[in-house]
Amino acid sequence: MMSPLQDKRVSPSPQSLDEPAQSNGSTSDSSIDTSGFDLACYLAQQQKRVEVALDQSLPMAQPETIYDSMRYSLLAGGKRLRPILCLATCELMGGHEAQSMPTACALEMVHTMSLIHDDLPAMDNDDYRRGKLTNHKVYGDDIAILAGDGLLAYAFEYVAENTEDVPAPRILKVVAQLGRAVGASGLVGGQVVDLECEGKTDMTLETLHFIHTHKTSALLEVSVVSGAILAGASEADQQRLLSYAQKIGLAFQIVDDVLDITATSEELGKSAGKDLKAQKLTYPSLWGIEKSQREAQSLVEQAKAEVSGWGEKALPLMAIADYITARTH
Amino acid sequence: MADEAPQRLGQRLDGKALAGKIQQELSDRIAPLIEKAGRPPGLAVIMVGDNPASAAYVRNKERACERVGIASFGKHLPSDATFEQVENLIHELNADDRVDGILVQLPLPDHLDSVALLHLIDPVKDADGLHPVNLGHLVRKEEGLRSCTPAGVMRLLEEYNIDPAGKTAVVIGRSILVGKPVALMLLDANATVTIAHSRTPDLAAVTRTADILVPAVGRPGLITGDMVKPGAVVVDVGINRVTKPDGGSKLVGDIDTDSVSEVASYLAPVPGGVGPMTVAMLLHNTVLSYIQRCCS
Repeated sequence: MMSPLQDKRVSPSPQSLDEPAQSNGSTSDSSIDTSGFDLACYLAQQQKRVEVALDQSLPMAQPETIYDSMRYSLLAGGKRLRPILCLATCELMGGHEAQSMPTACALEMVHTMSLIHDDLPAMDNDDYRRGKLTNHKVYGDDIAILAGDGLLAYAFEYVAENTEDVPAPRILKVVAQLGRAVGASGLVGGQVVDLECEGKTDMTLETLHFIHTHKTSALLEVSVVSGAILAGASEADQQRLLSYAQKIGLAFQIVDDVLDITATSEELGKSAGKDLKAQKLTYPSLWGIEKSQREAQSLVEQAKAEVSGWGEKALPLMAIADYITARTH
Repeated sequence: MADEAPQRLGQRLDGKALAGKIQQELSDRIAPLIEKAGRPPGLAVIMVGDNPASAAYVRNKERACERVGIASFGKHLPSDATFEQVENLIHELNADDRVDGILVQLPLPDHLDSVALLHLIDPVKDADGLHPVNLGHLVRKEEGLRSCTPAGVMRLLEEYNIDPAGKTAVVIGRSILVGKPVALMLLDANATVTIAHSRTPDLAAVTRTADILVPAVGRPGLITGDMVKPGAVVVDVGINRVTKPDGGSKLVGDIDTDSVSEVASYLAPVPGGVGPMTVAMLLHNTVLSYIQRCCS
C-alpha cells in the first residue's frame, strides 16, 4: 500500500507540476513551501481510510441499543484530525499503518466519548452536533452516558488487542499516555476547571491556558506523539513532535474561539455565538480578534519550524498546521 | 434479552430543536440568494377577525419569518369583511411579485366559505399546501408544495432515522388538514397504513397494531398507554386547550403522556413536537417557491 505522500515523491501528479515556484530546489530546512502540497486531497484520502477502519473497529453486537448508539456517534463524520495526525507522525518516523491505525481509531473513540458527554443536558446541553441530533437526543441520557463509557473503555482494549508489529513496551507507553490525556490530568481536569469558571468574568490568561492545554491540546498531543512512539521514534524526536502538537493545539483553540464570533452556524455545524451569549472568557475576548489571529498564525509558524528539519517528509504535518488557521469551520 | 421489545422508552422526538435547525438552514440558504433575486422571500398571512388564538399563531409565524429573513406581509381584515374583499386581496397577492407564499389563517368567520377562498390561491404560492392542485400532486406522488403539519410529521420521523417502510402505521382522524395527507405520505414511505376515525368500532384493537401511531383528532386523553403497542412510535398531532385546576389553560395533545411514555419508544409530545415543525415547514415551502420563482 502506497501512501499519497510516497506517491507524490515518486511521481509528481500533473496538478503539482502546474503549481509555480515549487520545485525550484532551493528548499532550505527552515523554509519549506507547503503550497504545492495538495492537503485537501491528502486529508480526504486519509479521512476515507480512517472512516473504513472506524466502521470495522466496532461491529454491531448485542445488546443492539448500545452498539447502535456507540456507532451512531463514532461514525457521525467529522474531520478525523486526531487519527490523521497519529497516522502522519507514525509514517514520518518510518512506521506503517498496521502499527498506527488501531491507535488512530482509539483516539477517535475517546474524542467521540468526550463529545457525547459534553453534549449531555448536565454539561453543555446541545441538541445538535455536525447537523445531526446529539446522542442523548436519539438514545436518551442513560444510553448516551453508557455509550461514552463503552467507547472510552473499548479504545484501550482496541489498542492493546489490535496493534501489529509493535513491541509491547511501546504499546504500553501509548496506553499510559492516552490514559493521562483523557483523565483528570488531561481532558477531564480541563473540563472541570472550565465548568468552575463558568460565569466568572475575572479569569486569568493562565487559567484559560490551563483549560485549553488540558481540554483540547492534551488529546491532540497524544495523537501526534503516539504515532511517533509506535514507530519507535527517539526521545528527542518525540519531544519535537510534542512541541509541534502543543503549538497547533493552542492555535486550534484560538481559531475555534475566533470562529465562534465570525462564522455562521452552518459553517460551524454548531450554534454560533454561543461563547458570546454565555459570556465565556475566550482568547478574542482577552486579546481582540486581530491579536488572536496574529497569535494563532505565529504559533502555526513555530509549529512548522519544529518539524521543518525533516524536510519534505514533514509536509503533511506542516500543511495540517496551516490548515488550522485557514479553516472556516 | 435484546430480542424482547423495547429498550428505550418515552424518548422525545424534539420538534422544537429540529425546527430551530431547519430555520437556521433556511436562513443560511436564503442569504446568498437575496442579492441575486433582488429581494428576500415573502410570505403573506391573511387573517380575518380577532380570534385571539389565531392572532397568536399569526404573530408566531411572523416572528419566525423575521428570524429566517423572510419578509412577511400581514393582511388583517375586520371580522365583517365580505367574501369579495378577501377574494380581491388574494388576487392582489397572487399578482404581487414580492410574495412567494400566501396563507389564509383558519378558522375564518362563519359567513366566509374558506374552501372557496383556498381555491383562489395560486397553487405555486400555496404555502400551506392545501390547494386541490397540491393535494392532487401528493396523491399522484408528484412534486409540489406539501401541507405543513403532515410534512412536519414525516420530517421529524426522518430526523430520528425512523423509516416507515414495512411498518404498520395507524392514523387516527381523516381531516384534509392532517389525517388524509399524513396517511398518504406514510403510504408513499412504504408503510402499511390504516386510517381510523369516529366510526371505527374498536379503536384500541386498531391502535395496538401500530408501529407508528399518529393521533390527529383533537380530543385530550384519547390515547392511553394500554392502547399502544410496546415500542411503538407515537406522533401526537392533536391540539387541545384545556383548563387547569388553577383556572389557567394549557395545550395538550390527544395522548395521555404519562401512560404512553411508559410504553412507546419514541414520542412527539404536545407542545414541542409537531407544532413547531408546522411553522418550520411553512417557511420551508415559502423558500421553496421563492427559489423556484426567482432562481430557475
